[in-house]
Amino acid sequence: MKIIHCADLHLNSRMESNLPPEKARERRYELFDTFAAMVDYAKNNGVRAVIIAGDMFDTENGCTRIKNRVLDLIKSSPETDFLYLKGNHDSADFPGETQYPKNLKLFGSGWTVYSYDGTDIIGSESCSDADGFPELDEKRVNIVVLHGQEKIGNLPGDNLIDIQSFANRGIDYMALGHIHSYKCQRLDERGEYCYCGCLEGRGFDECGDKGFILLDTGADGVIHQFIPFAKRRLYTVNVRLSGAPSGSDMIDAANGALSGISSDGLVKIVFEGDVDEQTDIDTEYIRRRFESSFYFVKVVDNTSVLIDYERYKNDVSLKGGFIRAVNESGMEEERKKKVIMTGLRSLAGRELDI
Amino acid sequence: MIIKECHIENFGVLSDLSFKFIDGVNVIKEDNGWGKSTLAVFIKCMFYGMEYTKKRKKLPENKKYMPWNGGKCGGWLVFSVKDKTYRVTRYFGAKEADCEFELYDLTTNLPSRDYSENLGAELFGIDRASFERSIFIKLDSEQSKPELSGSISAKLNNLVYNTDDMNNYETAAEALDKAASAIVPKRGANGLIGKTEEEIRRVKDALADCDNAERGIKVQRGKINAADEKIAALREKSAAVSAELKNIELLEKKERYRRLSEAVTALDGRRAELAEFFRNGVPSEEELDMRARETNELDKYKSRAAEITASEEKRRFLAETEDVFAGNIPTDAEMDLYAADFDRSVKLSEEIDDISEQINDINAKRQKASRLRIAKIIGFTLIAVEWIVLLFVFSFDMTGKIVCASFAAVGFCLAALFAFIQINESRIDEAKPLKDKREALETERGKCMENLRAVSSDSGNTAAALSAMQRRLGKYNEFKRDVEIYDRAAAAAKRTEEDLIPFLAKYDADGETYFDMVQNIRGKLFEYTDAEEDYRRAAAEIRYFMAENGEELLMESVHAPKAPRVELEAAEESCRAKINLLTAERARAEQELERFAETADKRQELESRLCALNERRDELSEKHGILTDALKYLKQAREDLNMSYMTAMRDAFEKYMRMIEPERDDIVLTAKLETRIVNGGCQWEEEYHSRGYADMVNICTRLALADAMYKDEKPPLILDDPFVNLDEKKTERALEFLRRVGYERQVFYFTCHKSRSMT
Repeated sequence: MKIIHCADLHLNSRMESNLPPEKARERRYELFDTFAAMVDYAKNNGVRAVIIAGDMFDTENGCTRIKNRVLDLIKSSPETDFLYLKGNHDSADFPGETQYPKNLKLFGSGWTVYSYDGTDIIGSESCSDADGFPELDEKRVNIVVLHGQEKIGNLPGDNLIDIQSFANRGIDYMALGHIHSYKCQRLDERGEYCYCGCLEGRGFDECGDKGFILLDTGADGVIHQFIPFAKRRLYTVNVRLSGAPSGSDMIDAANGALSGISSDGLVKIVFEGDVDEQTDIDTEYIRRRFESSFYFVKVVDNTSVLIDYERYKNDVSLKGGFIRAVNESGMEEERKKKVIMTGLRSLAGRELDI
Repeated sequence: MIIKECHIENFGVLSDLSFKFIDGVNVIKEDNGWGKSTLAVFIKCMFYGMEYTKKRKKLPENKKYMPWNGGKCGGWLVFSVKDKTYRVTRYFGAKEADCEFELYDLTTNLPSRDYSENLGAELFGIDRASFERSIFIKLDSEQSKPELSGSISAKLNNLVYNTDDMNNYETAAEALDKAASAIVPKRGANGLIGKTEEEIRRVKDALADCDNAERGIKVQRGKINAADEKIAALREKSAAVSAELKNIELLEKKERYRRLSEAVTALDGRRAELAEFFRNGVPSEEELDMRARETNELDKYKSRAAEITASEEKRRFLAETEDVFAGNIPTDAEMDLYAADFDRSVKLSEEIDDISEQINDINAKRQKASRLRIAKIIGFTLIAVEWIVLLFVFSFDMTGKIVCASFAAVGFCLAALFAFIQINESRIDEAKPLKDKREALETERGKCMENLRAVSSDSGNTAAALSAMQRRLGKYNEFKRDVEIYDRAAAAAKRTEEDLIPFLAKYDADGETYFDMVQNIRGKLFEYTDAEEDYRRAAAEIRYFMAENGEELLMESVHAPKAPRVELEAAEESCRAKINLLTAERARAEQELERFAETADKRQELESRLCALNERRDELSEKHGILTDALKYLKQAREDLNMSYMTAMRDAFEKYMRMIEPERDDIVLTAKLETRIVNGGCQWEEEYHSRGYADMVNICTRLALADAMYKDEKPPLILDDPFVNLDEKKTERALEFLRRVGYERQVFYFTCHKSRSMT
């Protein structure tokens, strides 16, 4: 039996933190489009059930339109069951619906079991460990659905799940949600636990392949395969600079780092390294240079300015005098660099970034 | 640097002139209008090129110094610098692009790339304007007034290759100040920080709206939950009522099934009963129609036979008649022949009589005509004899004789003619055809009479006999037809009856007549057909009912209705209405919730925004600090630099002032190269100097500036008659001052008056 494990769809995410309004609006539609495409995938590949391991919506009070669209989609796929477990971001309420489609199955705060041919899917929206976990039939394939972050040692955090407490309980596969990147590790000799990650990256903290996990259950247990499915991929590209690179040097360096990246990607170029005070990193200029090459480009200057104060010790010039004056000011080193860079930019007639 | 010689091909008023210069002071004394200033400009243009400007207010050099004679504008100049001697050649066109430049190293006599077209700036490190202000000293121009321009200040600090920073100091300071003011304006709060804080306030207000919206959501959620609970209770009640209604419906269905079953059974019985009636076969309607027609025909045959009466009498008459005719009953045709023969014989007798009369008439007429002709013959013969008598009686002349003879001849001729006709007529029988015809008719009549002899031997009684015979035969034929019809009807009736009776015997049909029985069968047939149809319909209905309701319907248990159906339906409708009402209320609450949710959903974004705005404000605050710090330290650097060259400048200024006015020490130089008179503890501006004195102070300032600026490679000073305002005593001092300056650097001193000329 084929099962899809997906999570963290965040369908009504506003997407405006990283993107300008128009792009954010388009990406909101794309979030849903990808979900709809996944449902089509399920239809076309004989998937019996789709597990949504939390955070289908971004906020508890998701907008009605999106939720209605989700319901329509679920209703239009009666041959597939949708096993929806609420995450910390969303609620199971669908406005105006007092009766959910038959193929939409919800998990409660206790342990809820849905049985299929040879496979049991057990989930809970509030349990964070195996306390009260039901006895499993080890002859069947057992899949556990939870939403939360893996508890590591005694590190504090919200929505923690003590995954190790589920070891050696006859579980074949733990379908987890909450972490937005694919991660799969062994639970015990029998089973594995997997975070499928989100379906679409929303910010540059969600770079890399995004998609869902396709499970194939049978006599041999569960075989899983990560299916990259995002419409767009996000990339953070670090570009190391040194010395006093010119604008074209920076563009060349960025070009090299960006090679192979799809034009429909969202790209964040991060300049790093130590540059001298002559270097002018015009992030807006560089962003514009790459703007037409990708769906979205962001340029961040994380370089550090290296100032050779010794070089200016005997420089009888305004610049030398300025750098000496700042150096002797007693301010913090980082601030000194900023003041010097600002002064030098102004002397060079370059635009002051405010 | 030393300018050794120059050649002017054409430049303004000057043409084809060559000069050789010495170290020290080169005095060029020429009259006004000779072109001293032009020569000075030529030297400048050899280093800096010609100034091409589009400013209309000023007559540009390219127009002002174009050769008056129209020749090629330009020339060359030899100078030595750093132990090397170069020749620069420049020619100037109407446009800057047409200018030519060459630089030769005279040590090698090869083109040199030590300097470019931008020779002046590369040699002296200052631009054209600064050059004019520092070493190109004219008196009659505002330019002669030295000022602390950016490049001069930079030059003063040996910033040969790094003049940009000083050049841009003012721009940089302005930009820093402007940027800082954009963040925190000097007045008002409309800076970026102010705007950011205003935005922060708005976001905080929006977050407060989120708080309210979240409270609203809780309220609406409460309403939704309450509505859900009520809806659930009503649904439960409605379900119970529905179950009761279903029980009633089940009862009704079972009752309906019972009725249908009974109907099927009854119809099946009726169908079997009628099937028994038709056990010997079901007649078709066509057959029944045919049988009905047969019964009608049978009736007709019977009534017809009844209509034919006295048949025995007729049969006897028929037998007598047959005896009369000895079995040879004349046929109608034969009787018609007899009648025809009779009629013909009568008619022939009449014709024969007519013909006999005609023959008699003809004979009578013939006799009469014969008698007439005989009379004529006699007469004419008498006449002829008379004439002969007369001839002989009377002696007539010849003529008379001839006449008499002629008349006699005519008489004889006529008599002979009539005699001839009489003979011929007597030979002809005019009545013969009629006689022949009469004979033929008589023969024919004889044949007719012969034929009629069979009717009557008495020819005189033939008509009566024929008439009697005709009457008998007519009666005979009538009777014979009746008897035949009767016999046929009787036979047909017998046949029909023989056919009908076995058919009717197959059914137990009721009826007094055969027709009634057939109709009875027909009625049964209709009943049977209807019964079959009714049975099929009922059976189909029960099958459909079972298909619709399932076999399990019969197994389902039912109980007696707890309430009347109407009551239950009303209760169900009431539940439905309440649920609808609550659903509508719930939907409104949902809408409200959604509306609040729209606001509340912004929290995350607003919090992010607030965070970003706070960061932005902090960032702006830091940037403002950085900008103000940068401005502060830039100013400090500038002041430090100013201080560093001021000492040298002041020393040089005092040195030159002492050369001119050894007794005065009340004149000081400011950092902006402005001279002030110190008097009574106050500084007075240079406007308080006399004009001549001011000129001298100005020259000292310029020389001090040039000293400070060019410590290594001192360019020549170009003085364009700067002492015109000095009196004789001061002029002598000035010339002496100039001579002493000439020991240190090359000087070009232009003057138009020998009183100011050096000997």
